[in-house]
Amino acid sequence: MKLTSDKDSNYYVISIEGDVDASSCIMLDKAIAEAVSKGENKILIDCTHLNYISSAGLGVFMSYIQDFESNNISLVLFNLSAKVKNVFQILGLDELIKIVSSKEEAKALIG
Amino acid sequence: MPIKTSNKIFVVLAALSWISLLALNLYTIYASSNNIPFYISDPLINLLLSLFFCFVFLYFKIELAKKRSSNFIELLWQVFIIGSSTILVSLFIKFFLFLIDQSELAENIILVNFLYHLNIGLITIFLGNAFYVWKKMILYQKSRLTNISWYIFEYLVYASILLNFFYFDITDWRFYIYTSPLTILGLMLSFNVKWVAFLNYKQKWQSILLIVLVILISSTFLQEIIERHITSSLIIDLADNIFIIAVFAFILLNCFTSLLVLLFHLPTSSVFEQKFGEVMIFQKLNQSIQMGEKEEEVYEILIESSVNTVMADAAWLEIVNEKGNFKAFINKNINEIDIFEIKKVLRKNSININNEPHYIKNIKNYNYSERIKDLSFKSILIVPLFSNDQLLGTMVLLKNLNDGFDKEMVDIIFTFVSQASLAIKNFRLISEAIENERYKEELKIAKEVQRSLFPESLIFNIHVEMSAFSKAADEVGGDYYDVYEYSNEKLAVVIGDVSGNGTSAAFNMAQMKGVFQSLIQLDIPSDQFMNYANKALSRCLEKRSFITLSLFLVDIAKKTFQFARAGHCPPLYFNNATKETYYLQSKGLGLGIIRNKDYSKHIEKIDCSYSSGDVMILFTDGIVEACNESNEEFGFERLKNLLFLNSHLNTKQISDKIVEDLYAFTGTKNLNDDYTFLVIKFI
Repeated sequence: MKLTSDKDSNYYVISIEGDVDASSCIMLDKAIAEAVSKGENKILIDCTHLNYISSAGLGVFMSYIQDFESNNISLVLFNLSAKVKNVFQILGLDELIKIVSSKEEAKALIG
Repeated sequence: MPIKTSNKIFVVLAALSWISLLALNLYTIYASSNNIPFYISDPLINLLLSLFFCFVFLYFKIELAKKRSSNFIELLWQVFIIGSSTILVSLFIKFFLFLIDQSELAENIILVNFLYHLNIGLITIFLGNAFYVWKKMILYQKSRLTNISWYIFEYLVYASILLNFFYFDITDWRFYIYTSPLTILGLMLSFNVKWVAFLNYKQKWQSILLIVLVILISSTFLQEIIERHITSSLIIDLADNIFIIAVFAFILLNCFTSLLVLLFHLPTSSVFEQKFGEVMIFQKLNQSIQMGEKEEEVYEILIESSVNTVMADAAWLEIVNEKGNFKAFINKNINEIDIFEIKKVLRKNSININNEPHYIKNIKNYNYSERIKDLSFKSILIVPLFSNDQLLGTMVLLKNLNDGFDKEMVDIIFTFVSQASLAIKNFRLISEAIENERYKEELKIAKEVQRSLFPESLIFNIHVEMSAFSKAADEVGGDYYDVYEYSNEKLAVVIGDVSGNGTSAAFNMAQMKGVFQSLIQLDIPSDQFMNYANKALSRCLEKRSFITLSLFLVDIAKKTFQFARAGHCPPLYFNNATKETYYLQSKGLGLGIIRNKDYSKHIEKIDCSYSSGDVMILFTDGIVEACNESNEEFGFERLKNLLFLNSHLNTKQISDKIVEDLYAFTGTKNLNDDYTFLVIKFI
């Protein structure tokens, strides 16, 4: 798995490439924690190249849901493959995490 | 004990032959002086004398063959003790003769011959013993040639006994040609002095002393023989006996060559001893590996041997563990404060003692050495211990001398260090292997425990047929299924998956089992069950963990089931009436994802009715996410088709079919996730 973090005006974009599994999910957790520590409150996750996400990877997103809600931080995932999106849907995470199809949509959603 | 008996026989025979020889001897003298005709004396005397020689020598041959060959000092002592006791008796006889010198008795031919006869016995015993002791010495670490030469020589010596029967003029030059093979072989054999090399310095001096004494004893005997030859008229004169003279010559020759070799070896013996000591140390180091002693003992042996071998004045040894942290420290004749100061000086001169070996001829010539000016150490040898580029520690040897370590010393220390490094590495590998074995054992137990968490048998119910399959990717996994039978008419089935896998998942799976078994007793609707389960699990799951769960409450009387799906893979359903296969969709969030809010709005319960022949497959995501070599997933579609084609089979057959197709698809039996599924068929 490869992670790249970018600043796009006032959006903080983390791009995930490859598989998020039990071992690589720690890096993802670090990347999000880093964004939070920098005071970012508009975090976009680019899932264009996200091939697979394991339950441990889902656990990372899940662990931030309530923190972000209470601290007013927006997290949006965009451009998920059908397969990955299905994983989020089966678990019911699509009800708690904003998932959209493009970056523009993501920006528009959180303003 | 044949050897012992034959040995005793030789003693008896030797004694008998000696006594009869004496008797015959004395009678001959008596007969000749009294003019009694007596003719058979000469050949008979020679025969008895030859037999006596033979029996004495054979006795010593057998006696010494029993002795261990490597204790040379003891062998030489034996020659000396027998030699000195025989010579003492001989000297006493001589003294007695001296006392009676002027008297009539001195002229008594019978007395003189009797006393000489005692001497013959003494000399033969001394020679027999010495001869076979030298055999042992000569044949130590023998070659084949030496062995053969010895036996030819020995037979020739025995053969020379026969010469007793003939008269020889030893002034005739032809005599020397006849005896030359004996001389040449004796000379050749006397240079087999390998045993000298195996003596240490002290033993060499002891040997020299003993050999000098043996030479003295031999010379005294010889002198006595010659003196008697000149002064007395004798029936048997040893001076004319080739056998006795040959053995005397052989023993003296060996004494002289051994003496010379011993003297030449004296200056080098300390070197030999040192090398021998080094070999012993290697052996000790090796043994400490094989004997299964502690790693700590290797440190002790290393520093102890190194200090002793190169005569270092002080030393210290630092050992680090696999992570490079301090593990052990041993110091000899130097305190920690001085070590600290020396290391400081080395560091300031940018010498890293853990890097590579260093030899400092005189530390006092280095910068900043004024810190340690009160210490007497000058030369320092620093040798790090490495195993496959991994640092194990460092040994530092110190000497008060300037340039105190020569090349040989450095070499030997290097060999010690590499040997010790190997030993330490071996110990660590062994303990690592033991540790691994222990973990494996623990995991085995965990596996057993987890197996016991699954239901022992699926409910036997004539209306519902059920088969299950579960296999963890690691020893233990996070998949879970369970059943609960309220009555013949009502039962509950559950399947779940804990996030992550391995040991942590297994612990959470065990918690899930507890939650299920307590909540199911309440006999509540499935959505409410999930609500409670979420509450319970929220308190015990760690931050990033969650559990997905599907619960089915089957009412056999009404032919209905109610289910709730908390984030779990949707169940696959085959409808026998319509012959359709589909996934049962519903809304539901995994358990433990939201913990402090109302979970109930994220879960719903679905009520369905079923008919006979309907089949349901409950599974975990491992099944649909199983990948083949080209990274393609098994997927929902494949599973759906599989059920559609095989719904007519019984649950066991369907289950086997799934497993078969799954392994055929992935092409391997190594799982990358836990596989679990339940096949339920309504009858």
